[in-house]
Amino acid sequence: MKLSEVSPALQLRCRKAVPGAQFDEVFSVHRPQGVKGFAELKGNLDSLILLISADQDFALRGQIICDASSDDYLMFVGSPWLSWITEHNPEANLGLSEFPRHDPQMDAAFYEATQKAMFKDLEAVNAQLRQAKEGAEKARSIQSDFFAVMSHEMRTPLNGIITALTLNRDTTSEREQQDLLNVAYTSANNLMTVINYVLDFSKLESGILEPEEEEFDLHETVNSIGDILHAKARAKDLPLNIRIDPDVPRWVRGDGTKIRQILINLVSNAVKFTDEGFVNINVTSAYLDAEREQFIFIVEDSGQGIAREDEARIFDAFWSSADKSGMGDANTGLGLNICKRITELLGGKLTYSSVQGEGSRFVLDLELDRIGEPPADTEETNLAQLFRGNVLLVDDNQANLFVGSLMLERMGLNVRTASDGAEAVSLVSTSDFDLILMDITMPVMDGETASREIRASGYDVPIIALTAHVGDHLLAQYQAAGMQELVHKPINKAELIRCMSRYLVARSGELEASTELAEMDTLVDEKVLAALIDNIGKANFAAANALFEKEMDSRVHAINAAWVDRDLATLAKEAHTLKSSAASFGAADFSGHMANLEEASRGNDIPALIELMPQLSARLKQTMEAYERQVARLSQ
Amino acid sequence: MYGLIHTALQQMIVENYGAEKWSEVLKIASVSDESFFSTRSYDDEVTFALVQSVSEVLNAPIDDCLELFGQFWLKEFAPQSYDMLLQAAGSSLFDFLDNLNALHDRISTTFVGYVPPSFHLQRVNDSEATLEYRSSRNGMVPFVIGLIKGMQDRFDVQITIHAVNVVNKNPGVQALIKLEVVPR
Repeated sequence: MKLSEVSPALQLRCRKAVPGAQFDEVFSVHRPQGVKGFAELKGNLDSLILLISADQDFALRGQIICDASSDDYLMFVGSPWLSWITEHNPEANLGLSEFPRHDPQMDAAFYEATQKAMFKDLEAVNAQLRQAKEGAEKARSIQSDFFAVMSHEMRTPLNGIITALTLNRDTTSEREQQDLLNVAYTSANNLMTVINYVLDFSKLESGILEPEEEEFDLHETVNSIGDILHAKARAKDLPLNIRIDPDVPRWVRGDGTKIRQILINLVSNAVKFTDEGFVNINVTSAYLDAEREQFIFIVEDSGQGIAREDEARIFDAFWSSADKSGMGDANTGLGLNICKRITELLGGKLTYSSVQGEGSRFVLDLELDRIGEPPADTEETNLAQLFRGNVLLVDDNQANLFVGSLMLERMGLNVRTASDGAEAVSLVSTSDFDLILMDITMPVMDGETASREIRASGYDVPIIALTAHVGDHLLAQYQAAGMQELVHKPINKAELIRCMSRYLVARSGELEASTELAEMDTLVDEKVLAALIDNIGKANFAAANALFEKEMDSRVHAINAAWVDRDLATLAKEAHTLKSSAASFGAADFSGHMANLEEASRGNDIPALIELMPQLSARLKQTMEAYERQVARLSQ
Repeated sequence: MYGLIHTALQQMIVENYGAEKWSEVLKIASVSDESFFSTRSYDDEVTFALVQSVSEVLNAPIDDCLELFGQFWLKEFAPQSYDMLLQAAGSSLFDFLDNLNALHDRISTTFVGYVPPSFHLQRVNDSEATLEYRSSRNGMVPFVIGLIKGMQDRFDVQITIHAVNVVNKNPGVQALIKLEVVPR
């Protein structure tokens, strides 16, 4: 069987397809199977004919047409077999014009390509739906966990507040009332913590939390964490050590509030989960460029550590340690999650390492802008971080203890307190102190007796007497009891600092000169009150103020009761105590009146007392009115 | 118009301006669909709203956006799925333009109901020609200009469009596009 005529288009594709060429040397019949010769081809007029070129480069798809006028000729009419050529010779580059208009192969190719595009569209929609579904499920799960945990964590402290205040109404015992109020206070703080967590978490979830830019004192920020958490650490007899490398820049630009928040959380956790040993905060930095510095904050403890099975989850929302034996603090499981997310918001990294039973180490890595000088409008603090060391403050006056502790802590000291000499002696035998500040007149055991017992036990810790008594003989008297120095009440800050500097290690090369107290020539000395607020901070002043007002009321009541009973010893004692409290809070005139009452009582001067006592209520009223006015004004 | 057009427009905006820009386009166009299906037919109003919205978001005239889209269609989008057909349409610019009608014939059997435009190329010489474009839709001449310009890289030529005469037939349009082609 030979080729008789071949179209030019086919000759272009199959060089061997020339007139006269043997058919089976040019093509093989792929379909129908087994068809070879002329007769067999002629017998398949109804079949689809698929031909493949001998060189395997080309293929045809078509039909055999028989010329009715001749038995010797068959005509093959067709077009390129597109799918075979696409698979076996994709470089063939077939043209549209090689296919007759009626040939549907190119249409089919377009259709197939469009179907593939359609599948891609469906896959894309599927992926979007799956992502949306997963996101919705996750959000629902988070929301569900959130409500479950938060409702419990909010109800618990709220329950504590309500219970404590309810019981408080029913008790007349002052001590019990104090304890219950402490419980209510702690619970209220816990509730505030939970509410803050809720707000922070919500802000992070809704994406509205943004990093702020402010210029701040990094050293002060870190040290202030010690101020806040020393009390908690102290309650567990846990040293809280803060070390800032000397090369760490002081003034920086960044989000100081959030950095403080993260560190407070980390240190709070460290204190919470450490029963003995230490909690250390170390800060170092590395120069990056002319403006930037890399800061590394390490919070390390010798506490419980993290269980291996929990290691991957500690930053997850709502994860919390199985051990909930903290100090009654909120246990929302959000703290570390919020820390991590805020760190990432600030462009930093928060990592940790831990060994269960040995401790944990959290590392906060942040870059901040370094600024050379403090901002022009920086309010200078009255109290720098002046000292390091452990101090025992002994005073039977709760307001004095509270205010004194805060002031000493802001000086950089770790402070413990005792309410009488016996408690002080007991504490000295169990804890190391670098200095003791000892009130003299106290119930149970006075300051001189306590000092003698401390010395007799072999402890040589320096003791500074704090007293409202006056007299040239007092220093010798106190030194004979084992004390070193005497500081008069009301305490002059500069004098106290000068005195303490002889016994404590200074943090910086220079001690700041303190502001001299102004003369007390008004009902309430604004400068004294302002200095107090500066010393302890506005937030702490609110609590101190509450204590002071309560004490004024209760001690005046006690003074009146003692006068009725003609119990001059008690009258003198109460007046003495109230004299120093009033002076500390700037109530100069009232303090003077108390001094007069004390002197008259001790001297058994009844006529003087008859004259002084009737003035007491009026003076109290005037003083408190003036005091509240000043407080309101200074709070603006 | 078929969803294929919207998908192409989405791809152009997302690749060049980001996913958020596309979300903005959808929002301004008040189109609730976030994805389009290639073979599904959408109201022409949806297409026009999207194009109008792209113009607003890119702060560029609609004609410029359509021309940009035409280029993107030919250079980036169509070759992804239909490269074999595009190759089959011709190995030179004029051959390709000659086969545009045949190409659209093949498309019509898949997109039933689609009324394709018609093209007729009149060659002046080896480098100059006039392309007649007729469509039942108005406003797509800039898209055709973009398609032509998009062929420069495909055929490695420099195309200069000397004149575009547009006659509005209402409905529909006829445009004569005089162009010159120079090998690079």
